[in-house]
Amino acid sequence: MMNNIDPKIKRILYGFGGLVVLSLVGYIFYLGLQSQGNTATLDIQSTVPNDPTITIDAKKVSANGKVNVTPGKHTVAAKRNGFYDKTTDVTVKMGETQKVQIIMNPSGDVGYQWLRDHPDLATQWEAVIGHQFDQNSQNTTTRNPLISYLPMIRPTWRIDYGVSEKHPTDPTAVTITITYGGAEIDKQNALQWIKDQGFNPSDYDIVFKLPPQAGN
Amino acid sequence: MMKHTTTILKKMLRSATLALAGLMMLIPQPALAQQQPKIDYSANDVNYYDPRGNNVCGGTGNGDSITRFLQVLSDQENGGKVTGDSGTGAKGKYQYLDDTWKESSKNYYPPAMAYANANLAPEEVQDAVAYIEYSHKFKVFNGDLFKLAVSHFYPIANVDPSKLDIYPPGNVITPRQYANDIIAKMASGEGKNIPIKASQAPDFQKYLDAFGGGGGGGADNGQACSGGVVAGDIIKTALSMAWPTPGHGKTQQDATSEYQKDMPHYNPSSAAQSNDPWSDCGVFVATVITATVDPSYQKRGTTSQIDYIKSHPDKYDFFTDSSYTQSSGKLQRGDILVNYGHTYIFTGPYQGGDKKSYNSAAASWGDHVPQADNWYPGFFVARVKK
Repeated sequence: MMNNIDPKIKRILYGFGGLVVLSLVGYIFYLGLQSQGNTATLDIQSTVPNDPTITIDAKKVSANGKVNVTPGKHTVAAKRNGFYDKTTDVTVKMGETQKVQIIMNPSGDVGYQWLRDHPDLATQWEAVIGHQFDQNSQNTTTRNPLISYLPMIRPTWRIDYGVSEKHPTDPTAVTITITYGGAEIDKQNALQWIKDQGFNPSDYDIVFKLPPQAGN
Repeated sequence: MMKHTTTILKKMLRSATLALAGLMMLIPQPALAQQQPKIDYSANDVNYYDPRGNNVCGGTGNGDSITRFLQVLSDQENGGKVTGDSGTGAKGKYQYLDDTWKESSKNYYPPAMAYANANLAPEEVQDAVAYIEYSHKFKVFNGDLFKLAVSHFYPIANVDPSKLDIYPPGNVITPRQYANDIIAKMASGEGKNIPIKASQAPDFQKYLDAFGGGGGGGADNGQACSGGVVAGDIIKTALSMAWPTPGHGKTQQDATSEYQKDMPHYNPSSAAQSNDPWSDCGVFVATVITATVDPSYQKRGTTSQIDYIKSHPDKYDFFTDSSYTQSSGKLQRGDILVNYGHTYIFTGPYQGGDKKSYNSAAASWGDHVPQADNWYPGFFVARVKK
């Protein structure tokens, strides 16, 4: 049938067809570029445990793997029997891939048993807890340098430190406890010792207590 | 021809390998990795061993032990202040009550009777009274440092052991806590900077000899402890394996030479593992405890270590209530701090290599090898039973 068409028209038709194909290829390429530029990726890596239920903005996704999301802030939530729920807010930019490591704290025997059964993965969890300890310990010592000299024990007074009674949820706040034998001079001797180490007692939250047998 | 030669060479090589392997099997191999670590107690010959299982640095004779005892005693009582006055009756370098001072002067070093109170006497005279008194009592108690310490703090508790755990009026620690603290401080080298000048007091040697001598008189300074593992001594061993400063790396090369040597020896199964055993907190604690008091301690993993401690109430007291986890008030030197995720050793305050003070030693997986640290709330306390 094409053989009966005028060669001139044939050339025009071929040219037109080529243009259509080129346009289609270009459009697909354009769509691809546009699609890539408008998304971001969250790389979910569930370590402890390695099989929690993960949701991103309340939509369930795989516990491990990459998920395309729109750029911006997203809420990643993890749930698993035996572990405390964990929720993390993540902000990811256009075209970026952000790793989201899920390490959950055990809430009871089921979680502890999971750690016993997965000693290699449990090490990853210990790394996180150990790192937190280091940071808390260092920050607390930097904020309250007196504590590294404690506990200080003398027969009639002793100085200890512990969780802040005024700000119990502040991880770097402490309360200094001076336990004394009952005489006012013991309190003064304890405070003098703090001064002798180069610290100002008024910089610290100090409480005075009597030893257990003498009552508080 | 070439191909044939290669085949012959290959066959020869295989035969040689098999023969070598067979020969190796005939030679007895030291199965180091499978052997139960052997604790070499003979390495602790410079340490005095007391009946309660505490090793105390002291050198070769009573004299050195008494010097160390007095250094720690004066440190514990008032930080070594010669003219110290507590305001509640206790005075001087050793906080003698006035009546006790008169009695001790009369009995052990009469020249001291010239001074009505301890803090009025020169340092060497105070040292002479204390040195002769405690040299004598050391012999009476057959070298028992626990009883020696109790005799200074609350003597009646040596006669009536039920009084070891009460708070004497006006005091904040029990006789048992007092004595244990003295012994632990002697082991950790605390108070070493306090001079004991007894030998400079007039006629000191004459009065000392009247009580059978003390083994060399009061040296000016106590002898330093040797490095490495000390059987029974968690604190000294932990401090020898850990850096006395923070800020170290996580590889084998980052660890102290003692830890590089001791960890594979006492904790070979962990050392053989590839996932960073050198910075593992549980491996560090297990190495210290295995080397000192319990060769069966769980070698790695805080969850398993808690299981082990709980299942061995014959070996460990395990405290989980808030009075232990939220405050340093009930901690004792040598306590194992552990929770699900991290563990370390509470040593009590010591001066680090950077002149700062620290009270613990810890490793942290992926972060750092054993190094100086400070106690932080939130940890259960495991205490080795004496």
